[in-house]
Amino acid sequence: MANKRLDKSKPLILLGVFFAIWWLVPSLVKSFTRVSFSEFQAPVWIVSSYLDNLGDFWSRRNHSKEELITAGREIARKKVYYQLKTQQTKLLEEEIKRLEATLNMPGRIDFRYEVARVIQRDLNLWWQQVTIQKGKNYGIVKGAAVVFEGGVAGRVVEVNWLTSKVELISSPNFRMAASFEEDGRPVVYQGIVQNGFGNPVGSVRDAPEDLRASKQKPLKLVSTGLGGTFPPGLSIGNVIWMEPGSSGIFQAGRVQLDKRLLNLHEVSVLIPIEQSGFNNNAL
Amino acid sequence: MHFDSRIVVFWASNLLLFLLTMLVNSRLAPFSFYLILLGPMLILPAVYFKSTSLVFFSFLTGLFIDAILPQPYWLFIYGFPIIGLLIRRLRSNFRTETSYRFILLAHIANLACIILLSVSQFIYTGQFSASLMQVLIICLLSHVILVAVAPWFFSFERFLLQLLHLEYTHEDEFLEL
Repeated sequence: MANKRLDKSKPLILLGVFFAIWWLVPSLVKSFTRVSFSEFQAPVWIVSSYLDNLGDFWSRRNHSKEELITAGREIARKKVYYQLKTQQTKLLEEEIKRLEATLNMPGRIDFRYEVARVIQRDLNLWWQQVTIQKGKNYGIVKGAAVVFEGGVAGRVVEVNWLTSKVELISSPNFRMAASFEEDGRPVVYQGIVQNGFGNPVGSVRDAPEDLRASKQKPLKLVSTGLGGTFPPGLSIGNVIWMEPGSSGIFQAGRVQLDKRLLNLHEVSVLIPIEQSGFNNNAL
Repeated sequence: MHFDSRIVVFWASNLLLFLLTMLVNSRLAPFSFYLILLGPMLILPAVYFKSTSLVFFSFLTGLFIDAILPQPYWLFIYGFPIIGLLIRRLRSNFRTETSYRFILLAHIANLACIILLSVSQFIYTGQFSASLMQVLIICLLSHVILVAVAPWFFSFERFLLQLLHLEYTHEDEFLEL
């Protein structure tokens, strides 16, 4: 009778012993297993990305010669335009440096732009992450800022040898210092649990009470240089309403983010030059 | 304890199912849809394995899921062995290999995984009401897809066992319960 009872509780005892063993395992071993599994699955996404490229290649081969000639002409025009813009940017940068030197201003953090392809998106209500096809092999560092054509995309949270994971600004775990355009006073931006379909959203808090936002006149939220991760002035999103926060002193509101965040293809990782160990010749 | 080579087969099948689901989720991202198909991973091992092998197998499966998903690194490491053993306790009710009950069990296990994930994330983020609707949508979509995926996945696992000439009969222990 006692033996039968022991037999029935055997799986539970086993489970308890197993959990106790895992709990006692040093965190170094746990961390090693996590990194190993993460590295192990990374090639799958790289292969999937190559297959996508191959698909793109074959679909583009179906275009007619006329279409290709028109596209080539368009690219040539854009190339000339961007060459002129680059010259203009260089002149402006020199001007800024000269003015900074005249005013004895502290030096700004310079970034190296590492353009990377998005090979996987893992977006749901609990987390919003994408995997990019560059990792330690390109000098990507944890915590680096990630931007896209619409402004701030997120931050690097995990770096493997060939890939890196980026937490998007819409993720509930993401938080950064921000300010409103033409205001300058710092506020806090935080991602929130995404509540359904449509554009991704975030939240803003600690906004000064004299600011007013409406649908007709939305306030543009931009990054600040505080913290040194993001360069100042990058777009985060638009705030269309705010209400008094829980403290009663400051305001809180919703931030409408760029819809393109849900379908990112290419992003740029901003690596502070002193951390990267690379020359600033990426752009 | 001798090492059961079927653990490797089931583990590899689970890895394949998980990565395929992630691949589909990546494509569904612009439409705000998300699939969670973790339930079928534990059904056949719960039927075939002894409790020691089952705990070890579900621990290994939980290890790679926790490593890949950005959640606390213990959720499925602890969750999968518990769900696996609970299914194993129910196995006297589904002896027939071709039974629809396997699919039903896959749904129950999947629902348990979604609840486990939701509860852990609610505790972490503290935003319950905002996400309830989305959880229901994830649940509904995942279980609709699971109706088709679960039978395919079980057949695939059985095919692999046959291909590698591995026995897929129940362990002796089954008769003792």
